[in-house]
Amino acid sequence: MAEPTAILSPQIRLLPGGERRLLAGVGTRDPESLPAARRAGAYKGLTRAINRLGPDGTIAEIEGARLRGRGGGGFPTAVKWHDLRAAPGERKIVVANLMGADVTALGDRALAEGDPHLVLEGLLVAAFAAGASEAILAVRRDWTVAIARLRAAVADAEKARFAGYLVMGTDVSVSVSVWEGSGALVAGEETALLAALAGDRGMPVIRPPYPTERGLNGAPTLVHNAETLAHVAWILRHTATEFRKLGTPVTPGTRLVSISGHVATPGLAEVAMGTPIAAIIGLAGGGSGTTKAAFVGGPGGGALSAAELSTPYDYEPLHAAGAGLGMGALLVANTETCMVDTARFLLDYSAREACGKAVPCRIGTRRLVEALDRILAATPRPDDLVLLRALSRKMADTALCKLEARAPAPMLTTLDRFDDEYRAHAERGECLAGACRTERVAPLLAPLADGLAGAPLGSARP
Amino acid sequence: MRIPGSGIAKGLAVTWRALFSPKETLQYPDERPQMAERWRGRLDLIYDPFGEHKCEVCFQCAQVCPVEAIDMSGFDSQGNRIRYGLPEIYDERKDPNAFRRAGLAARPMRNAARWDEAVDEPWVRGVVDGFGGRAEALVAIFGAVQERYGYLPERALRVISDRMVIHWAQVFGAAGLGGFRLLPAEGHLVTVCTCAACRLAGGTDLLAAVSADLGIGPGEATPDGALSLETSEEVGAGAMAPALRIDTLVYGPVTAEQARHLIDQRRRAGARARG
Repeated sequence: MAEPTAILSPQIRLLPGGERRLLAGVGTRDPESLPAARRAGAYKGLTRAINRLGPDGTIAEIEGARLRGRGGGGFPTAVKWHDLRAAPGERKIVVANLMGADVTALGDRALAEGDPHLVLEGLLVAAFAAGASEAILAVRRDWTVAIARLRAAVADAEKARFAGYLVMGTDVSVSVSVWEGSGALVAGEETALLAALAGDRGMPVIRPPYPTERGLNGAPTLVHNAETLAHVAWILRHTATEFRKLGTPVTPGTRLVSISGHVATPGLAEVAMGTPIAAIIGLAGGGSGTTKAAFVGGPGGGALSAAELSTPYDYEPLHAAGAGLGMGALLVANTETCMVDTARFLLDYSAREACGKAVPCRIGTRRLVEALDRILAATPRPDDLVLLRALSRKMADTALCKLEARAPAPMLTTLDRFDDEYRAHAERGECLAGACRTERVAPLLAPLADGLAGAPLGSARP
Repeated sequence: MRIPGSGIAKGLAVTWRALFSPKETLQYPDERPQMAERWRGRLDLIYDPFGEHKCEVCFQCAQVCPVEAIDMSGFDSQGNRIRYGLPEIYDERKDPNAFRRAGLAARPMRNAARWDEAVDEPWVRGVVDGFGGRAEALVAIFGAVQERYGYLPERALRVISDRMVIHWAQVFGAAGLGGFRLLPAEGHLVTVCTCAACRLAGGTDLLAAVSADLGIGPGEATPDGALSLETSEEVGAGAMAPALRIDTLVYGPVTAEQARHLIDQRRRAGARARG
């Protein structure tokens, strides 16, 4: 057997601490061997769902486990399954989201590379319980190792009659396919993913109708991210009671967290829900330098100050603080980091990754970046700080998708906590963190370098 | 009986009456019409006598709109669904022809897509057929084409559009999203990851160092055309931050010193291959 390091792509480093539920088989056994996976209990959950529980029993089990979607929304999984089951129509589809929308969160990638059968089993259970006959694994195109392993896992599972035509001698058939998609921030949004799956440009559509009513090509569709499905498989293998032993009463279970930024050893850890953020940072060897803030939840998440690091890692406490779980990214920043500049980067990233469909998002994010640029250049307009808040609110009110509604969050949370840094930049052109150069190396917002747009955004048009 | 000149008199009478009647014409925009309080204008496209939209979705209106207010989606005359959006992400709007149509000076493009680019059309058609020609396979087809050419040649996209009977705009729209290059990179492509994690791990300094070493900024190529430099947030470096990508290989974590070494190595290897 190969070394664990050779099993996973070098981008993925599993941190030694933390729980080992979903990660139990990741990096410790040959991911391409079905017998090895079965020795570790693979497809026991599917067998239990089909032979013992039946569709209603399976949904009841997930409901009993109080599993919530790990894609960032935290929506109860069982409710979605009920909706899909109740939706009319013959053709129903389940989609596993492995689009890696937030590039700094690598949990889904680690699962797909290290234990593809776990994800596949969860997908098959979801298809069985929700009454779907088609299952699609939508994988980011540049995760080539993950794609190859998932394809091999699907082929093996079909050969062993866990997937495909008449699963395990019953009258259930689930055809599974692996689809590779373009990686982009918006590609992970569920309606955008379904548009891309149909061969269109990946742009979100307005909801309702929710995908569970009208999804891929009009058929009711269930979209789950890979981690949620892995939890499904784990629950079916180990029972709901076992699942609830970790985590909080509202959100039982664990979560894969990717820790990066100013920490000793950046990497991936599995933590129980409700673990204090400071303890999660501790798993990565603690912060390097004096930790100033932690950005929880990637480009749509928010910043917590050092004093707030005892906040439990769970949906409600983080939402109350203005942050979110997102895809499980945790970015630690030390005192040498300028909060204004970091907020500007995250916002600018959202602006450039915007699909362009919704006007408040397409124009709003750019106006926010411009306002931050004026603040960073110490040439603010008198009402810029008001503008930042008012425009963010309007964007959240009129948002087409979650990404848009959450885009201003890193800026708003830093504005609340590090108001002095904003004011020092705006009023004195001084960076309290000492990080910003007077001359920036490269323009972070690529100027619209063509005659069409004229001057870069923020300057007067001719 | 007709009196000679009575026709002219009648005509002049009409003219005189009209001359003193109140004018209907408004000197818009100096004068504004009084609209009902909650009147909402409605824009619609003009139909031809056969009931077809006269709009050909040529997109010139959106190209010239200075505030990017025009966003299009709908069905063309073939019944294909078309969508457009943000101009910067639709390179079609940066096409020299688009500039010419919009009455603007075409931007000089170093690596402009060429109509004479050598694309193995039968091979592209074979790739399309290999995937069964289904729209879901677009991204996989793009992947295969980019692997061969290093970018998606416009000619190849046209062939894909023809072969799959998917509108060109849909093919182009799908190609504009996520990691596909629409123009060839000059020489070896050096990409510095600027994702949030890499930035904090020293990616900004790495970019500055590489940029200073090569004497070029992001989006530029060295004068000898051996290397071009880019930034991307989508390298997905994870534990390898700060990461550097040369062509398709990702290195990390790298220091400025190691980056210089890696780039030199690649430049020499490239020179050997050419020589």
